[in-house]
Amino acid sequence: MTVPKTHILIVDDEPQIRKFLRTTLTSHDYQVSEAEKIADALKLLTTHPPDLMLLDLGLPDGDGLDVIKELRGWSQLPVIVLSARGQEHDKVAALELGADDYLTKPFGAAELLARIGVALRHSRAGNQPQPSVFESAGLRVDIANRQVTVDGQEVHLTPTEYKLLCTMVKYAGKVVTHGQLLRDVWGKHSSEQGHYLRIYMQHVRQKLGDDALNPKFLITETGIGYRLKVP
Amino acid sequence: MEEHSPSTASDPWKGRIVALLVTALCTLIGLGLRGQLNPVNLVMLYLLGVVLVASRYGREASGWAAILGALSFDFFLVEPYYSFAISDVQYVITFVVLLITGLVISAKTSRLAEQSRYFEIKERHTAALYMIARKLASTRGRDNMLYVIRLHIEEAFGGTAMIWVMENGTLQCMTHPAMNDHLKEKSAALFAYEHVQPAGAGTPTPTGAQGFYLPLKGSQSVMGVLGLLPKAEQLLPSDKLQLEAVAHVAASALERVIIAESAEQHKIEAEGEKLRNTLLSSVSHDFRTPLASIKGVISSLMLQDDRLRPEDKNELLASAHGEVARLERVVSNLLEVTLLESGKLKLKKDYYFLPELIGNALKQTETILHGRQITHHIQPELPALQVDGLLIEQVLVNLLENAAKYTPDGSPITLHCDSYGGQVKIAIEDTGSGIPAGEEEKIFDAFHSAEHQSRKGTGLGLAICRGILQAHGGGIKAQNRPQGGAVFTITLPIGVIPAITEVA
Repeated sequence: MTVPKTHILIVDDEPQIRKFLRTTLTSHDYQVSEAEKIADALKLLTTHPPDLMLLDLGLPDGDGLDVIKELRGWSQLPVIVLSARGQEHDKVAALELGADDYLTKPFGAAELLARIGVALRHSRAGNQPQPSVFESAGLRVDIANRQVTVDGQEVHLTPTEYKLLCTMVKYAGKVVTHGQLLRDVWGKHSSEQGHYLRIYMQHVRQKLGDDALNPKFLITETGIGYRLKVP
Repeated sequence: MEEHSPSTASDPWKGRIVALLVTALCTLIGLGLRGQLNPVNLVMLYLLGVVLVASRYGREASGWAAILGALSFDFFLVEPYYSFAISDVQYVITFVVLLITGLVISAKTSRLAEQSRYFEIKERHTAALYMIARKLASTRGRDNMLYVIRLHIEEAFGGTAMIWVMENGTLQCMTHPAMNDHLKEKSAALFAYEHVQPAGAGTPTPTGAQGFYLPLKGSQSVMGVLGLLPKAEQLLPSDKLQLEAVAHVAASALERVIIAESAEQHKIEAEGEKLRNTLLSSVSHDFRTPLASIKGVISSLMLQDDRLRPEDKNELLASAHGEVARLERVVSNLLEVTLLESGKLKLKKDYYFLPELIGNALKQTETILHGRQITHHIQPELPALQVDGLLIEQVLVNLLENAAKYTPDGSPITLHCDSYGGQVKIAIEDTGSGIPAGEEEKIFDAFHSAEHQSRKGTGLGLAICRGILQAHGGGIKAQNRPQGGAVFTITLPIGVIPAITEVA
């Protein structure tokens, strides 16, 4: 018996973009279905549930954000939003509504496949206990033992810094918005104090010896949030 | 004028009554002196009365005074009293001389009075003309000028003043748009415009209009038409003359402002045209160059895929990939310049540490900076900045791309970053041929490089940098380094970063 292929739903009204996505994804062994309107997408989501959805935000019959809102009522299906530069506001809104990640058009195949890989991994791990150790490029976070090392050297973090790093580890590879981090680390009512987050993130980077000019661990997604690199 | 001097025209009865009263007074005095003086001397009383009435109430009243005086003299003061019969022939001469002298004096005196009134009006008109000329000299803009003219005429003449101007091939009333529907008035105005002569009420033109119309004759052409709907039935000839003088002053003022405005309009249009042309030519250059190379790569791969060595194929693809990135930057810059030009650029400020933004900018320019040594000297512990991160990244990308474009491949680029006096300073140094002398400021003007065909690109990049930095309250300048090459220095203000207290 063959393993069923991972099924990806593409929702985009541009035929050329759909063609590029279809060709790239099928050649990497994904099964693909396509919709060019919100109505078609919602129909396919119920009749032929995919494992992941690539969703363009500007669709002819409405706003892609509404699709996420509706979908999150009944499904944890991973969603990657496709959007243009300069629409950071929409991207943040989509992520806050529960989208898993975003790609800025125009994007390349490597970026696309990497994002899909991360999103699928998170969705499959969602049902299993969180692995207690995260490792990438010399950084090792041992959650069970509350221990952080870089190239074998132990790094001492304050409780807030540690909590921040753990949150990034929890979403490793995915973008995490400022709002999400503030809620997870400082609690619900802290979203006004944006500068807290930047300064703590800077401290964590310095303690991990991460070079902001060429980061190995923590990437700044300007206008959106941060992303912890995965191997 | 002479028939219509204000008091007699308005109320002839007043003059007549005064004539009667003055004559009665003279008669009373005469009666008092009757018998003591020779009646011939009493004639002088009546002559005095005639002169007084003439000076104040014009010819008709003084004529009545002369006739009434002669009759009263005869009736009351010449024997036999209380009869028009004249006993002594000498009094017949006195009577006739009194009548004639009275009439002549009344004619002369009232004429003198009317003349002095005429000069008084004329002086008032001259002063008014001087006033409007002075007001118009300090008025800017056609519409303001039309308003000033209208107000002046309505104050000076009463009624409704109109100014008609040729707009889009038809004569239109600018001051009272409703007048455009009054066909009689409009055709009179049009007649004045086309025939360059007065038209309307009181002129021989057969239009039946109620208004009086004068062409506004400029030195080159007819600027329009001045119209007046008078309050009274008809304009007096003196008012028409005065209105002509005002029309003359108004026409030359209008001509001045119309010539100035059309020159300004031509200048704006010419500059807009020039800008459009440079934009079109430079944008099409910026799009066409990468498109040509991408198309070349793709067509070559389609045609001879199997004959290409894998390393050549990869090289072609990498170059097409780089060109696509270049296209992306052109599009971003165009987007930004549109927002900057329209004033719609809204800063989405947030806290960033400069190295984060510089790192992202370096990542985006990785391909074009390939093979160059990038050195950086970043002051440790730089404070966080409150900026629109994406826009500052774009500034840095544009400057790095600029450095790559104008310096030889492989030449090094150095970044300096430090803070002083409430500002952070980022300097990007290259070792190229530097900026041509005298162009250190001009290179930040949009399309500057496009005007120099030897240069590459739209020249939008630096203009956008300046726009973005100014929006942040910062700045940018370009200089040549003493040891060769150019240095671009950005400054950004350090805002107040709220303090944090960790409960650790």
